[in-house]
Amino acid sequence: MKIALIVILGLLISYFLTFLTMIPFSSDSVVDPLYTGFQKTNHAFFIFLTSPLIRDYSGELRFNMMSFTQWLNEATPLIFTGLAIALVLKSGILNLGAEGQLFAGAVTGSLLAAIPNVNGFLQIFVIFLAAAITGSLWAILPAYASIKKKDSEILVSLMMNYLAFYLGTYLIKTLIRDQNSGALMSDKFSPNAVLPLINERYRLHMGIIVACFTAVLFGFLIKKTKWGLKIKMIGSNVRFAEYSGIDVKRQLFKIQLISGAIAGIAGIFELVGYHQRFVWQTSPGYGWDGVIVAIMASKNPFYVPFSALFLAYIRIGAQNMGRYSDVSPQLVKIIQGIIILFFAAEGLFKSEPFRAFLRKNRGSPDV
Amino acid sequence: MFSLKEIFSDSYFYSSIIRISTPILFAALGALVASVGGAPNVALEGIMLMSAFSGAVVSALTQSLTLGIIGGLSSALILSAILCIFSFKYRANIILTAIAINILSSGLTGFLMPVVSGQTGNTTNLESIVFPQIHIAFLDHIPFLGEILNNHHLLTYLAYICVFIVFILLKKTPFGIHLKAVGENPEAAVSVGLSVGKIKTVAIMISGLLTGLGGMFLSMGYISWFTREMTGGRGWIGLAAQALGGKSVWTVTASALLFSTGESFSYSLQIYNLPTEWVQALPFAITLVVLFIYLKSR
Repeated sequence: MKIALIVILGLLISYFLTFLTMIPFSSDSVVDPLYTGFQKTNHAFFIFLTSPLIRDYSGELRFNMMSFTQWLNEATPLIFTGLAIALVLKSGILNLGAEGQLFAGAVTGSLLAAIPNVNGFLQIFVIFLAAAITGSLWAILPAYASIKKKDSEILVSLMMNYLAFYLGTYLIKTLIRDQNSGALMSDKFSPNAVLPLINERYRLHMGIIVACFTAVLFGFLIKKTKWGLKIKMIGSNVRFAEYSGIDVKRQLFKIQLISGAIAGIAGIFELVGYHQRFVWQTSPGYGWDGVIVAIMASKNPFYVPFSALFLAYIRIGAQNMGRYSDVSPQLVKIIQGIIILFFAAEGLFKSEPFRAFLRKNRGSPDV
Repeated sequence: MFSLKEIFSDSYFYSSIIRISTPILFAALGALVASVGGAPNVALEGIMLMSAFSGAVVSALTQSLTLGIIGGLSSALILSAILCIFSFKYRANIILTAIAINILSSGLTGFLMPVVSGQTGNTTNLESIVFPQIHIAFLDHIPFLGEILNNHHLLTYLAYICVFIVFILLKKTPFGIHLKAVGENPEAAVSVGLSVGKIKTVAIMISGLLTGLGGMFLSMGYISWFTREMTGGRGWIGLAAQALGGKSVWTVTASALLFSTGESFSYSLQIYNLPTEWVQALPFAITLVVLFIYLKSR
């Protein structure tokens, strides 16, 4: 209910904003400028909201395999980072370090993937293991800070993000840079280290399957195990968790390392599965997107894939909109911002006018 | 040939540190004011970006520097107000709200840029008004130091004047004392009748104004246009500089200078085609070490 309202609100605001900017200034045409504005906005929003699924082939609507593949590929890292952040949020910590953990893991994985002539299965296994361990290592300092003093992990993780980016870029540059390319990218990975694609033509990699599987796995762990119960208790009431004999600090430390490991492999699929070389010249930003994914999924690992798929959907839609209409794809960020803003505002949905509105319209006070 | 001596004996190197420090110092001072009040302002990056954009665009459309400044600063105030309303009134997590503001302002600037300028990467075709460059005549007679300190932008001098203003604000005014009380012990502050929400709101607003000035330096200083994502993490660096400097204006200023020295040095290294990453990473590593010494000592 709440999520639908917020998403609709975000779409409405962005629609209105687009409409305002699409009204032509010069009124030399005989057509009503408002009408032109509406038409252009509707055209853009049609592409925005449908293009990951369907495409207009000169009047005939067909399934858009290309964008559909991009959609699933885009969702993969978002599921991992969203899951990583949802897990720590569940225990009451806001992890801003996922971006650095992702980058550090991706760099380690890429360095290993560039080693030629290793047994394929072994190499891929080691790449993923090493990326996860690097992500975990990158989470140690923020984790330590967070149990030492509440909220200090925010700054520490921020520093770790920068260190990951600069040191990672340095390593890629000095060790495996492709000297023939003008842009900064690594050599092509060893063919043994490359994951097979599900769909060769549109380059669908297998990340989405593994990502969904991981999310479901952690969903069960949280829901069914004693460990999951501990995490939930710490998140809902630290003092109560302490009184019931849970070693809170230990658990908080552990969950952050696990989260780091998940974030560490978030970027690997995109590199060894899709690009087959290290291509990031700036930090890709999936760690930040993970925050949106996690809070849209209300910290529940089972919902993370849906929330990541939604985010990826509007992104690919926006990308297509930017290509085939006059509206900037940056619009999607405005929607993302609005979604986080209203999701975070817990008080807003508990305020009396809002509840009254709900009672009137739905007959149920709980949101 | 690469020579450290050549870099360090060039007055241009030091002058560029001062130039580069301008937006970082503004952001660091903004972070300081917010942090003294116990309300971390993680939205600095977004506020800076937004005011860089609106300052450049408003000054170009109206051809007036004053209106440009008003435009830039009011956009900074609006974003700060959103941060305050959502986090204090609607009890949203202030960090999440700030992240939302950063994304929102990156989106809004990117979305509106083609609308106002017809270009997607920058607004070079708009003629923005820039802040004047200041020439101080008597500095001409001082060798070396004069070259370093002279011919900077108005905003650069203003940034260093703001250091003193912020010092006075925090240490010598009732507001500063209240702010400190609110930041250190909100319960006690409430019990003596201070309105925590109001004081924090004012602090965030001031923080936004300072950061907004930093943003305008980027698009209305040496460069007279806005480029996408032109802040390039300076808001975050300001936040890091504040973390390194702690709660004192002087150490925060010093650490802002440290970060800009790192950046300036890395530009010098680039000329010699040397890897710059470790120089750029160094201030962050130092900050990390300092943060941990601080945590250990608790």
